[in-house]
Amino acid sequence: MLAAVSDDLHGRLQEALPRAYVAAFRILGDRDEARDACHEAAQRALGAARSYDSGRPFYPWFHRIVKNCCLDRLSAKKTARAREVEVGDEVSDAPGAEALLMGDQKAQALARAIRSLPEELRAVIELRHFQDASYADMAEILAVPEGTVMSRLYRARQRLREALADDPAFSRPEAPAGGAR
Amino acid sequence: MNTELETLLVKAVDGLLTPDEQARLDAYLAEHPEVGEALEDDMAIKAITDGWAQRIQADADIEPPRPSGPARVVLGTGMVLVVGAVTALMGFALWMTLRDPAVPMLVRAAVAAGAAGAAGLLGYVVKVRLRSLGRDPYREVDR
Repeated sequence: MLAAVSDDLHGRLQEALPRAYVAAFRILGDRDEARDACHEAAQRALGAARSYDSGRPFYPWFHRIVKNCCLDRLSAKKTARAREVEVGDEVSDAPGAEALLMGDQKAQALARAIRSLPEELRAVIELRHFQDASYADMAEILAVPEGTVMSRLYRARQRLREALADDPAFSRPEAPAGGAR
Repeated sequence: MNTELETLLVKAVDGLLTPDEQARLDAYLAEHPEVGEALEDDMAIKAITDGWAQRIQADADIEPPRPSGPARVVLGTGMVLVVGAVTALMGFALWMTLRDPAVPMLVRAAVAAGAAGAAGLLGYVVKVRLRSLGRDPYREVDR
């Protein structure tokens, strides 16, 4: 019985770990730290297999464990980021987090725009765009109704669009004079 | 903007529209091309962040730390057999070397020192392993 539960949890972990790694990387801004945090979170999850209610969605439960592991690591480093406990406020300022991935101005402008979002809007972008969380999982993680998730996601994307509208990297190419589209 | 349209636009960016929802959105966009442009912008942004997430994931190579129950039994048994066999063979070879009067004393002393060192290291590993057995250092999960 316990072995069956463990196998089921192991399967779910395997499915969730890549997304969890992205979340950890976005929080910690370091590959090795993110990898270690995910391993630690997986061990905690397996150790707490009895307390997991298989009737509930797995990712929100595991996301919470990953978040705790990341915050522990930040706390151990005595950084100011450790005090930030909400999902959307966890994006690392470490240069490695974005610099590793962005070679062009468009990406840098987008990263700035995401960081400038209010916390509740940044949270939905982090969950949906980077962790590919379902709307139901996002509602569970953020403890809000699914309709609120949709509304926040819409507003977050609207804010990003507006923030990037004046950015040269995102400007639409001008249509040829007198030409049809 | 009404809630239903917001939902359609959110799902469209995420590629989660049903055929029926897609048809309704297409009908709306035909009359409101400016909304279609905004949708294209949102999709472009999503494509960029999707790319980041994929690159981060590709870099991860994350595996769960423990295999399943039956696999653990197979791995554990295999490990015990291999370590046992290697220890027995090494012990036998060591015993024969030390007992052979044809082997120079210096070589016998070096072999004995190496064996003592290896035994010390092995003992330390076993001690640490036994200490951590049955302990779960991560009991506290939810805070």
